[in-house]
This record gives sequence, structure tokens and C-alpha cells, in this order.
Amino acid sequence: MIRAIKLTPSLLLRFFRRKEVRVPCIYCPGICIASCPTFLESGNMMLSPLGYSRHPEIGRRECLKCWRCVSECPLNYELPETFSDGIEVGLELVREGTPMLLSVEGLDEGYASRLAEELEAGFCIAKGLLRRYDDGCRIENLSEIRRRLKGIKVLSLSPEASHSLGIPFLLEAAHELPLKLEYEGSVHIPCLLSDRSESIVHNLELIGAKINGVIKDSCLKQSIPDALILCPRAPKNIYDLLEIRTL
Amino acid sequence: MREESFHEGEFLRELEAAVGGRCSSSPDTLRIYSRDYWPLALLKEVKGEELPLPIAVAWPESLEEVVKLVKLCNEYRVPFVPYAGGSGVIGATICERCLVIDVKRMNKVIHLSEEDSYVLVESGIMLRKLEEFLNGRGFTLRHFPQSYPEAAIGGLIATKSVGQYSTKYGGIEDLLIDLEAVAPDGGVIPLRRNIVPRASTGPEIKSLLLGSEGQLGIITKAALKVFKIPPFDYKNSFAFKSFEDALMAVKEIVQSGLTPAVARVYDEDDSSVRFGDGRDLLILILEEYSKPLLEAKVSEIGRIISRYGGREAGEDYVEKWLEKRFDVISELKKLVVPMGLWFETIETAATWSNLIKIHSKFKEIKKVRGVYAVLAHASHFYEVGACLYFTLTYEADEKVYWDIWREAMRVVLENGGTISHHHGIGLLRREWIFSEIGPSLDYLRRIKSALDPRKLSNPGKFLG
Repeated sequence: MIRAIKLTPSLLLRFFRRKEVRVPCIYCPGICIASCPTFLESGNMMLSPLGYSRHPEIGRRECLKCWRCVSECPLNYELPETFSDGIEVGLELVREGTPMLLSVEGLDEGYASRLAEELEAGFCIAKGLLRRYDDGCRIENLSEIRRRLKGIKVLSLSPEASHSLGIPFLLEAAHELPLKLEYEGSVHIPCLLSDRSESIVHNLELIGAKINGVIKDSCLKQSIPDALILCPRAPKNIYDLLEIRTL
Repeated sequence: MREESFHEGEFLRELEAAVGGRCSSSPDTLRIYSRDYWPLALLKEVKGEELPLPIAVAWPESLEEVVKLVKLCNEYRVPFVPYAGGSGVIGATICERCLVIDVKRMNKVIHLSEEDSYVLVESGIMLRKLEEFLNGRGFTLRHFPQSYPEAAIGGLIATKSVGQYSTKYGGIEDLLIDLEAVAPDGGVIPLRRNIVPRASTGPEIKSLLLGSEGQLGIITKAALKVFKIPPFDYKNSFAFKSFEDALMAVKEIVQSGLTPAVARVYDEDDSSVRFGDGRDLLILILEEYSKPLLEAKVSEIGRIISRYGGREAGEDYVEKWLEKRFDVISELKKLVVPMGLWFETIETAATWSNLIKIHSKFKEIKKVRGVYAVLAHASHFYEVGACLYFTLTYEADEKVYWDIWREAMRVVLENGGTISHHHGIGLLRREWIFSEIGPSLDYLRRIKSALDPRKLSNPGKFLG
């Protein structure tokens, strides 16, 4: 490799004094762009990671924080958490138990509370986490939260908590719980869990659902497809349909 | 006509009405649409230099809206430039005080004929989305330029693009069956009455629009050949004692009718940077619809490669190439930009007899002050020759940039090459096109004058 490069003393010096590129999108032609829902809908470069990276205030407002761009980026650059100042997430333990259902404040506490009671499971609430997906900010104490959850069997009701905290999505472990679901039709896979489609569909089938189509390309924040919705964000979603199986 | 009393506000109001409000003249939007992916324009942007700004951007949704926009531009004498993926690398979309007509909302697949193996699409469909659509139905366009993730069909036609699998499947000109466009005066150049595999009905307008870079109107629809996804493939790489030996092996492979889908010959510098192997490497992918045919070709190709001293180097290099082939950002982020350097790619094509000469003379550009690396590979092979593709790393400085280009164009023109194999002309190469095509340029300009007497369709480029 060295032979391919015309090495000069100043070039060598610069190698050791490299300046960090903080926002790589500035230099990119838009490798991720065909995955961005706002761009695909509008055709407008401003409403794409190319625009959001140059204008964080527009990103804060317009980006859906679906994180599809991150999974397409060769650098896995986490653009959707650069739009607002960092936040600290709190963790409130409501009830001890195994498994521990983790809800997100302002998103799915009602569902989590009901399910935890019916399953006699534990229940805790992540406070402030939603802002990462609403305002686009970094969680400053992410490693601390993850450390606190280590060793506990935690299941997340929301794609958001599963994505942030690296914990299993409840519907990926549904077959381990006494749950049943009477449903036949398509399922919408949440953007944040798009890489887990197979395991989610498999688990839904294990608890009784008949899945005959998978919708992976749309974002609920744009429009809600006629399908089984797994995000508690939607007005009518899987948690309204899940039933407890009597043993 | 309102040319003498142009009122920007009035134009913008009519613009808004023409596309139902789908337009913008906000400074931020104009700035992001002020360039394509021309490295010099990007360099200027990151250095904080202002690029020439358009007057507005519009997002039409139909042929009718494009017609309205072009007619409006004619009425107000406002130049316009079509914009698709914005992934061009020659500054072809840079157009001061132009209306940018972004076709990306015109992104529908109108019809896929599985029986006849063609697809009719609107020009704003992104290549990747089209490929995904086709793959879901067992088909493929097999057109994979490096800009695959961000390019759109209209732009690929207007640039006369090729993809990495072009040796077998051809460039966009081989895939394009027919097109629809809006002429610079707002008239519609329609699709022909029937989609046919070939027609002897005089010169074809589609040939004029191929590579027209927005200077002859706006492409709105395209009928493209598609292929069934080939079920059998073979991947391997081979190391040679010299770049020339590898090229001659591929020449014989191609001229023997053993055409691979992908053949890429990397010189030792390029190989060492990309694969950590300082030998001249050939990356090879074959795709066929019949296993016996594939095996026969692999066997014949193996014999040819051995005769030229090629030694098997394994599938890993092919997999590495496949994994990284669209990634233009990693090296920029990790090494090039942090060291205050910049990048450029320069492609040419030549007949077999000139390839080695061009390769060796071009490599001397490394001696130009401020240039640190000149990597080269040959890709896109033909019976009569191949494309040579150079990747340069140099001081992030405009003077060095133009020093490189002057020298590069001199080398290719004096040694039997073309100034561009598939990136096009744009603002970048306009001063050299006459040296290559001579008085033909004047005839092309006369065609442009006839179609666009007011010089509104992407003015200031090589057609005037």
C-alpha cells in the first residue's frame, strides 16, 4: 500500500495530525438516501439525510428518526441523534418480577402496566427516552442504563426501547410467554427493528397469528398501513389484540 | 413574451400554481441543489465558497406538470435544468439562476412486461428502488454504477451511464428501448406507438437524449430492457505478473465470446490499496442461465488465464469488492478528508492497442505537485477495448485539481483515448470536448439551437 502513495514528510506529518470528520454526510452523495421515508415521499434533498445533516433544526422537525439511514450507512453514522442536545434517561422500577417489561414514558406505560399485571411480570419505565426518537438526541447515560439492565430478563414493548437499550422486543420472545394472538393478514415491521423481521414474524406465528404479508418499507409516522401494527405509537396496535393464554 | 420585464416574484407565483405549491426558493434548498457530486463543487462547498445558485426548485408529479414548467420558463425566459439523483460527478446540474426541475416525484413503475422482459418507468425512479421492485418479481436491470444507491433513471440516461456489470449487460444505451421527454420548448417527445426491440424508422431521438445532460430537454419516461435474475454464477480472482498480461487475458476472453458479467483488472497500486495485495489482480464474475454453459465458460476462461500466467487468488477479493463497491464515504471520512486531501476519479476508454500506453503515461500524473496517489483499474470490456478508471488522491486545492485535469486530458487525447467513458462532460470537461469530437460539436450545437432557440435547457454547458 505504501508504494502506491507518494509519501512526503508533510504528508506523513499530516497522517499523525488527522482532523476528525464529525459529520460524514457532508461528503457523501447520499448512499442511504433511498431508505429515507421523507425523501422518498417528497423527492426533496432537503428532506433527506443530506439536508438534515446540514440543517439539524430541519432534521429535528422533519426527520422521522426511523434510523433507516444508519443501517444503510457504511459508517453506521448515527445522524438521527445529532439534531438536539443530549439527554439523560431515567429508569423507574415500578414492580419487581421476571420477566421485566420495560415501557417508555409517554408511549406505552398503559399497555405495559396491564400486561405486567396479567403476566405477573416486573415492570419499569424508561423516562425521557422518547425524546431520542421525537427530537433526535443522543442519550448521554446509555451505557449506565444498559449496565443497570444487565443480567435481568428485560423485554421491551416498544421498538424505541429495544433499539436504544439493545434489549429484546417483547414480540421476539412472545412464544416464551402465555400469549395468544388471533390475527390473519399482513404485519408491519417497525423501522427500528427492520433487521429483525424474520424473528418477529416467526414469533407471531408461534402465538397463533397467520401472517401472509410483511410490510417493511413504510414508516408509521407517515401513514398507517392496513396491517398488524407492532408500534405502541399507533392508535390501534398489537397490544390491543394480545390475549393471555390460560395454562 | 415577458423577457423584457422579468419579475421574479411573478414567476415564482406562477411556478407555485403550476405545481400545486411543490416548489421552493428558500436559500437552504437552493444551496443543496446548487451542485451534484462533482468533487470540485463539493470542495468549494466545504471550503465555504458560494456556488452559483438556482432561482428555485420544483418537484413536478407528471408529464403535464413538466410541460407547464418548461412552458413557463419559455414565457419568462428562465433557464431550467433537470435534476434526478444528483449523483453526477461533472457539475452538469450547476446552473445559475435556473429553475431546477427535480423529477424524483415522478417515480412510478408504469408497467413491467414479464413476457417481453421490459419495464416502463417514470424518469425520477431511483435505480435502487427499481432494482428492488424488479428483484421482487425475479427480474433485474443489471445496471450497477457506483452511484447505484442514489442515482435515478433519468439522470443515468442523461449521463449515458454504465454499470459494473456492463461487460455482459451493456451500458444504459443498450438497456434503453425508448423514452419520452419534454423538449426545450415545452413540446412532448412521445414514446413511439409500440415498444419494439428495434426499428428502422430513421435517426432516433433517444440517441440524442442519451448523454444530453439536460441540454435537450427533460426525460420523463423510459422503457428499459430487463433480465431474469441469472441463477448460476461463478466468482474468482486471479493474480498476474503484469497489468498488461491481465488485460490481454480479458481481451481474449471477451473476443472468444466468453463474456463475463464483471471483469475488473486492478494495477498493483490499486490492488494494494483496495485488497492489500500488491499484485495485478483480475476480479471475475460470470453469470449464466445454464449450469453446463457456465461450467464450460469457466473451464475455457481458466485455460486462457493460465496461458497468460494468471494464478487463482480466490473468491475473497470478489466478495470484498462486492461488499465495498458502492461505499464512497469510508475512505473519505477516515483518511482523505482528515489529512486535508481530496479525491477525483477520471475514466477513459481506448482500443486494446492504446490501453497500456495510456495507463503508463497517466500514472505519471503522480509526479504532478500535490498529487499523492494514482490508482488504476480496467473495467467495462468490449471486443475492441476497455475503460480505464483512475482514482486520484491529492492536495485539497483547486489549482492542483485543474493541473491534474489538464494533464489527464492531454494524456488521453494524445494517446488514443476518450475524455470520458461514462461520467460525461458537464462543466468539468467542456473545454476538451472539441479536441475530441471536432466539428461534430458544431453540428450538435446546431441541433441544440433548433430545439432550444432560446438557450433555456441547461445552458452554459458544451452545447452552449
